[in-house]
Amino acid sequence: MKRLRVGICLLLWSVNSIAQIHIVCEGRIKDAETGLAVSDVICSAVSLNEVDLLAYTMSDKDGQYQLHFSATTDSVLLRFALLGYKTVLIPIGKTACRQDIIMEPSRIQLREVTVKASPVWTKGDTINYRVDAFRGQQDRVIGDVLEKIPGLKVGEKGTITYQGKPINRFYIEGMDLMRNKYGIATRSIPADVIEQVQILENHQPIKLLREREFSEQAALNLKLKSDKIGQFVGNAEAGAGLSDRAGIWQGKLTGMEIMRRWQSLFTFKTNNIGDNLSDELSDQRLELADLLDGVPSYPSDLMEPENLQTLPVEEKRYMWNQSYSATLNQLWRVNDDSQLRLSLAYLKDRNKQHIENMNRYWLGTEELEWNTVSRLRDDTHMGEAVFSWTTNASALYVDEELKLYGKWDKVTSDITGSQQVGQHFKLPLYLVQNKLDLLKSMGKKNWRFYSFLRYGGQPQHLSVVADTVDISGIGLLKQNTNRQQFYTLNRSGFSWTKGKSLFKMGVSFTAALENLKSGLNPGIFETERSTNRLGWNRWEYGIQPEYVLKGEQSRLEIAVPLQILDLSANPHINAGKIHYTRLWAFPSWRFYHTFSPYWSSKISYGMRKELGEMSDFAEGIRMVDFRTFRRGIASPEQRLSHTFSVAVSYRNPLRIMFFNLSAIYRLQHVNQVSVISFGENYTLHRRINKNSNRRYWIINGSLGKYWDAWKTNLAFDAGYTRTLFEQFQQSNQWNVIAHGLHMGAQLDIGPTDWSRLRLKAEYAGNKIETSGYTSQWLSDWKTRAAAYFFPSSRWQFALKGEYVQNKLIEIPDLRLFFMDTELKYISSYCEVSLICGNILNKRFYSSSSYDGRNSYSSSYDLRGRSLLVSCAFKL
Amino acid sequence: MKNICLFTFLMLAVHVLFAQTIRMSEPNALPRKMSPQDTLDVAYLNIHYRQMVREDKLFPEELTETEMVLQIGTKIAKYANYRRLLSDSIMAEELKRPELSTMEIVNNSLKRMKKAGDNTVIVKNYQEGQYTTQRQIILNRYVYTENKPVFDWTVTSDTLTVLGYPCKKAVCLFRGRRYTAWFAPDIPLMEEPWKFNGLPGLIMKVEDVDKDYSFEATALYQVNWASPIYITKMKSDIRTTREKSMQAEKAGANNPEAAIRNSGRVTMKENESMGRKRLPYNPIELE
Repeated sequence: MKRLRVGICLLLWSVNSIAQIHIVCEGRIKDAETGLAVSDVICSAVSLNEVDLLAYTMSDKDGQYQLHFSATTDSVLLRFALLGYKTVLIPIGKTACRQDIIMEPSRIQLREVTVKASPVWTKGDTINYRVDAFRGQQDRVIGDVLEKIPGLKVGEKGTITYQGKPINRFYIEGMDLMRNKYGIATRSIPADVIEQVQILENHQPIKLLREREFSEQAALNLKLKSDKIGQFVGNAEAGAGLSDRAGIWQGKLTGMEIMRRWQSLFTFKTNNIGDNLSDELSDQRLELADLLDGVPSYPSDLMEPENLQTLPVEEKRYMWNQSYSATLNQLWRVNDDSQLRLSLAYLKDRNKQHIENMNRYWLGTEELEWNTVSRLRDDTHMGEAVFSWTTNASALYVDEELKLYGKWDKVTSDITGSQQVGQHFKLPLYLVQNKLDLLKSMGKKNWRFYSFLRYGGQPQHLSVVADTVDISGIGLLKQNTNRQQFYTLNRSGFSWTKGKSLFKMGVSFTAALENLKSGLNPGIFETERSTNRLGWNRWEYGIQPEYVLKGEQSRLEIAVPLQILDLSANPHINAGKIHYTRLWAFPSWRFYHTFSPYWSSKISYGMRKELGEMSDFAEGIRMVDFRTFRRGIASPEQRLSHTFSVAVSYRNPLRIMFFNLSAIYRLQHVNQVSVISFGENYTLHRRINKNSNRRYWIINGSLGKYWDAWKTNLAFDAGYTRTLFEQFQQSNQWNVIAHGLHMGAQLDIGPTDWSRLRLKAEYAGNKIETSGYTSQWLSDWKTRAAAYFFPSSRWQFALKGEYVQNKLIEIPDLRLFFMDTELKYISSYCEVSLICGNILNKRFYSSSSYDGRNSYSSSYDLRGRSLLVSCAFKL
Repeated sequence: MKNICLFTFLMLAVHVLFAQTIRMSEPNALPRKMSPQDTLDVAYLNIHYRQMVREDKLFPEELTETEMVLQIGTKIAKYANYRRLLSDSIMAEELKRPELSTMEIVNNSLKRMKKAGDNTVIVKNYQEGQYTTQRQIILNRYVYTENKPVFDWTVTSDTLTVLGYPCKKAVCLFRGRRYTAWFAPDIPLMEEPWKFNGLPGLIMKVEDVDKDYSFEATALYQVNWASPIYITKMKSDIRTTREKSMQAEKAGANNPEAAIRNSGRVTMKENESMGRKRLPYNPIELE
């Protein structure tokens, strides 16, 4: 009983202790100096630790307040606060109280804060990059800024990739002015007129297919500053100077006007300072696989002039050019859904290169050494006109494009050394092509019709003058080759959705009608035919069933296209016509899974069968350069490949971090191989029927991270390739394993307002394994560093260094260090720059490679010291 | 009497909405003066807010961003478009320069205000407990005054740091939308962005559950210069009530052409039709 009483007492005490007591506090608030009532004071009752807010109110115009609250603790704090007065804190008990408050005026003390707009933010599937956060004072055009944006990568030729995949559209203010020639825009639009770069993830450019068909590619949109819309934005730049060999110059005139109803961009550029203009005019890849888009790439040349080599030093150091380009891109927005577009481009480009080669060819028991000194000159004229009409409405999509293209390429090289040779190539190519893509919504179904037509010709010519030609004893050789091509691809099909499934069914018809005529005069191989007259008609009929299953986080795509291939070729030889018919299937599947808003993955498999080049069918000898000859075989080449790939990507715009990793394995089976034979003065590539396998393993990864502090951007990418293939030379065959490794890191950092540092380091290594021989890693290192200083808003100074090292097989390691400086004065009217190039006057670069049997060593002339004064105006 | 400010408003509205022939007064015939302004108070504190509005529910990804400023005075607070504030002060200076034509001044103002976002002005007289709202609806400006609205906030224990200030969370339902606000007890002000009020500290961030409307503080600074808090007045203002203003906004969105024709400010050809039949409608106050 005693215990029970104690228990009841304890219970009552505890209940009492946690019971809530209603408290009323009231009073009047006065100013300590004037004694007047203070209104609008925030009066609050808070727990002793000031964490819990129990009640709050505001004093009225008479300074009166009244607070009602319930308290569970023994004491609470009354808090009286108003900007301009010291905050008053008064502890009270658990009883009603009256508290008159005297508030003491004080200076307002607030931590003043300002946040700039976040450098990166997202809205739905759009990632917005604030250009000013990434732009350094030295960046002139938007391409300079794009290189620093995490998640984006700008390739050597200007192709923009996002998370490892090429972008599928390049918009300016939401309109597709440039199509696949966006290199012109990235290298011409001033960075200071752009407010935001937007990445539209999983962008489906066709409105009708949005929410229906998934796209794994992103689009890029440039948003202009609002005061630049409707304004003409123009720049003119002219410069002249001296280099060690001749005078140098550059000139640029660009103009852009972006209106709501039309957009226009024109450029005129010229230079002889090594600024490559052809890259910005080249077509950029917009689709993951061009063939899937139905637009085959341009046919390659039938001759093989010694190419202008790409060296691991800045291009301006080894390019001896005289370039002129003019472009006009115009878009009219006819209505909300339709656009008419005209694009004109012209390029006149002259490039020279001075190369010394020392090649060693393995002949089985001995080596053949071949030394040449080549002076190469390449003159190119390229013209292109594109007219297109696009209607992109919610129920209809029409994309009609007519393109006229012509390229006139003349290559001349004077070769001395083991042989005195002059060779002259004429490599014209002209094309007319039309593309129509029509998509219509028919209730729950979509109907699509796609048609592509191309007609092209390549009347190409090579003449060689040699002092001694051992094979024939004749010093003049002429090779004429003429290829005419008509190609059409037509597809039609329906797609419809049922629940989470999407079905597609289409039929296709492809025709490739080509003929090739070639003649080598005189015929220098006694046992070989030196002429070709080849007709080649390839017909394909296909059906393309495809199934897509869409889930919340996953997506599965399965396609099993079937194709009947009918090839009829007439090589005009004794064997007569060749007829070849096959039924092919190309199954493929892709599986996408999104783990979270940050992580996503893709696994895919694809099988592909294709025929080889028509020119490989030509059995007559063709000369492709002064010592290289090719001979095909009148039998179709089949290539069968299986490709497995897996990719994972991470993108976190909040932390401004992007990462992707992909691995690809490809097994390719071919029924023909090329056998290389070396003679004293010739190399012969002869095709033979023989089954052979090639295996590729490719791993690529990239990481991009931006920190607001010091506007720091770090990018890292790495890749490894392992290729296993068979090589055939003379009468021997052996297996080769080639390893390739590349790594790159880029850091851009602005430690102070008056300085900025940019560092770019790249490593590339190659290694060969053949039977009985394993090479060491042959490495190329290149490091570029640039420090920019901005002592005032009017002056800029840049100091740039480039260090190149390669490990060669024959000679000691090559180490080169280049240095350039640039001083710029910016007035309100113009910018004047003084550029000193290659101050240390490094004049030669050399490199070598080894393919397991043959070694190739080359040495190139570099541009010497130069001085350029240039002046840029805003128009 | 028409004046430059009116012209600017009209041109902005016309530029944004339509593209057809609308005949108006010659700009050079306009007098070189600003709209009449009543100076109500002097600001001692400015708080900038990034205001994001989903104007069209059909395009949920498209948000309109506006930089708004809350000017705090001792009696009056004003919440308005920051670029409008800047543009007005630039225009006032330009009007003093005789070498600039009226057309140039108007054009400059139009350029500055391009894509400037929300033009709503809310003036809060907290001594009298009255809020005045100026809202541009198609070509007309509607003005109404209401009693200080009551927000029934519930303060929770959640915390967040915004602009370095520790904030507490509060939620409430107001005129059809449920809001979550983060306020800073260290800044003892009860005047807040838009019509919000009644929390024991400055709201640093507030948004509705659908994220159609969000306001986030981006800057906070004391004003150490003479910065008047003023309200512009135009004879063409339509003085009305909140309810009627909401009706006009809805009607204008459903049939903008009729709203233009009925505005009495422009003349459109009878056979001429607007490009857009409807305008997006997603008001902040649903009831």
